[in-house]
Amino acid sequence: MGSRRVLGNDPFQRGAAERTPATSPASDVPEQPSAASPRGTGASTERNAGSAAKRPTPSRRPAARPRKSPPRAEPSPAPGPVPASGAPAVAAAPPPPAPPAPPPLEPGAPTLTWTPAEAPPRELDRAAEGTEAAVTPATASLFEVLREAPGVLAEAWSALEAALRAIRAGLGTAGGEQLDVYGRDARLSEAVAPLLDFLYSRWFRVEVEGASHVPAGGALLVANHAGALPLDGPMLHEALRRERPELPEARWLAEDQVFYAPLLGTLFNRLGAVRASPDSATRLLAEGRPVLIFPEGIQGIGKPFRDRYRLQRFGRGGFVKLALRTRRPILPVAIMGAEETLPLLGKLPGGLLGVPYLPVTPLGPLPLPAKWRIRIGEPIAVPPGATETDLSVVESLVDATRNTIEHMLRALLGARGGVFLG
Amino acid sequence: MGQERGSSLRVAITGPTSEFGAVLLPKLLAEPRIEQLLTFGPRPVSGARLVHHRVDLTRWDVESELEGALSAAPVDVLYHLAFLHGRTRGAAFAHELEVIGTLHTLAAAVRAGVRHVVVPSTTAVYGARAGNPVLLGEDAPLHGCPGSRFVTDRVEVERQLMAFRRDHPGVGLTVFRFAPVLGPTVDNPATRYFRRPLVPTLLGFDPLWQAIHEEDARELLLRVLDGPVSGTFNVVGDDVLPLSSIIRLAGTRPLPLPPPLARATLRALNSAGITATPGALLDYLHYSWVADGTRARTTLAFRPRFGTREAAASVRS
Repeated sequence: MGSRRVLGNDPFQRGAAERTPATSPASDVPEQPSAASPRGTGASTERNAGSAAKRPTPSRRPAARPRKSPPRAEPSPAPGPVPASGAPAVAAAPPPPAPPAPPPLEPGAPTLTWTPAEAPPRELDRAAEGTEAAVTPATASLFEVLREAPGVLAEAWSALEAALRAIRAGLGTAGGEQLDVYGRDARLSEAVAPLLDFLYSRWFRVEVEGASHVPAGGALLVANHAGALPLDGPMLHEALRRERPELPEARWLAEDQVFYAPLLGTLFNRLGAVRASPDSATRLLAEGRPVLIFPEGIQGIGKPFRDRYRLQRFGRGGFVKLALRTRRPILPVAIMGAEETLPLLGKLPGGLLGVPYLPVTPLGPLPLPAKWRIRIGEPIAVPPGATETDLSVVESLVDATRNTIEHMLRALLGARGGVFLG
Repeated sequence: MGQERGSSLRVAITGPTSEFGAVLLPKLLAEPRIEQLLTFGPRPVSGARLVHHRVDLTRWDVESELEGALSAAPVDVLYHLAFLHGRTRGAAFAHELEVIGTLHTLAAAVRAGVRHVVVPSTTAVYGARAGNPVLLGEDAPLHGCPGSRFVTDRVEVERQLMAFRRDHPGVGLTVFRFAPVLGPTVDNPATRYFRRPLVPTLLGFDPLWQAIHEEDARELLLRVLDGPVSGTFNVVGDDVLPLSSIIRLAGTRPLPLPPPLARATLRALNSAGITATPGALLDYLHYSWVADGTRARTTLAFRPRFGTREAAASVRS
């Protein structure tokens, strides 16, 4: 949805103007009215507007970092020129979302966009308002940070509480009474939302392009897989929830090694992971859900850090057979940032815990704040008449998907300023 | 079948004191449509219109005994409920009773011209495995639990029933694969598990479970009298819950143990003779085994009154 991408929510017009083109996919624009009008969307729009507005300041870092943020934002319109494969439309018409976006410097307006933040920052808000027009951009950024600090801290605190709740769920003692047959616990997902919010909009500052490509009625989103602990599933899931709230809730397929890992597998299952198997995927697609697939499986998350962004074998093409059988389109997805979030430095034997290995990462299970970008490419249509037994069709579709993801990844990486700054 | 004959149903039960026998017998005794109720079991039961035959299904000559009793007058429905539900008196005895006992009963039923046979089974026969689909349909393979005699025997019974269905199409056969049956009075491994003050579970795992309330199980078994429908049906409560929720709802608390520790402890207790729970059964605490109850819902119009949640809560008391 374009409407809340509006980084114009950024009270600082300067930042808004620069960033909008980079992030709001123009292709989202037509969606805007339809997506924004139906019931329910309002809430999520507002909520996301809040997070989007806060996004520019990555976590609670010293002023030095955000100060750099304007210059860093400038190169990012560059992703525009990466029409490599699927995303020419994305770069085409960035301005449309912008006009409603930058609610300029009228004192009242920004306050509105700030409502989702915690109460204290609001007063600070107004205080800063008067001064900001007069001060230099750099000082303004400093203000921005200071003003946000209490809100961010509060957010971090609730994220921490949510994390404890998540661990409890993972340990298998928390229960939950609102489960669907796949094992997703709607209430737990709500309880863990602050953590996901924090990771998504603060820690990884996820930016999504091409979410409008996801059709209604079920589709296979096929993405690269990375990170010693695969956070790409939940993040892509969260991205669709925010960008396309009108679609049925997506599910991601988890490889057995993750799905049956103690704690992590249990937690992921409660949050929406489904064990990867053709029958579960078929069932999910029949329900009209977007299904998130990581065909590299354990090879993707088990590769050493030096092999980052090097796509592994795409399984045995099961996702293509699934697409051919269900006649649903394949959408290639490139995810940048997951590799550096939990780089795999080594493996310890994990037999005692019942896992194939214990990943060694810089901060243990804590993710590094790498900047994430997710690009969803255009649907790869399934050739009419082809069946899953036609191995050459299967192979060529696997290759096409893989190549598209590869191209999109290269484009994203080429446009990236820095691992953490993006 | 029953309706047109009014109050002239002849019904037989093996194992009137077993898990399902105890659930069903009082209702059958109160059922006006039943003209005569034959019971076969080691312990005596009594009631109006009830004829008890003291038999031991593990004896080699029990078949002719059963046949004689069953063929005195045509039996409309035979409930074969003689399965173990308490602590086993040894694996060999369990095997004799469940597998060989079923063999005898089915053979006698065929020879005596019984019209319809009803056998309760369990969704545990699918096995709790990493490769399980989201929902196990009735046609899913019966992997069982190779390390557990209890489950293996039930899988073997299922195979006999499949062969019986194939070889004797003239005899109706209904197999109900029940999710763990929970309720205030029922006594089976599941209710005993949930009645512990501390229920051991595996740390880091919380598999999806289902349950069915004893009232619903009884209701479904009784409904066979209205007009039996042959087939195999999963019988499950409407919702799916994580094991830890069922434990809580049952009014007790989970005791999560690290899986290697749990397995080692169980092995030690078993070899010391304190428990007789095969470690393989821990799979049911590890992996999800969720059966698809759609067929019973569509074919039999079975609408359980209680969900898994209510069934779990009914264990408390």
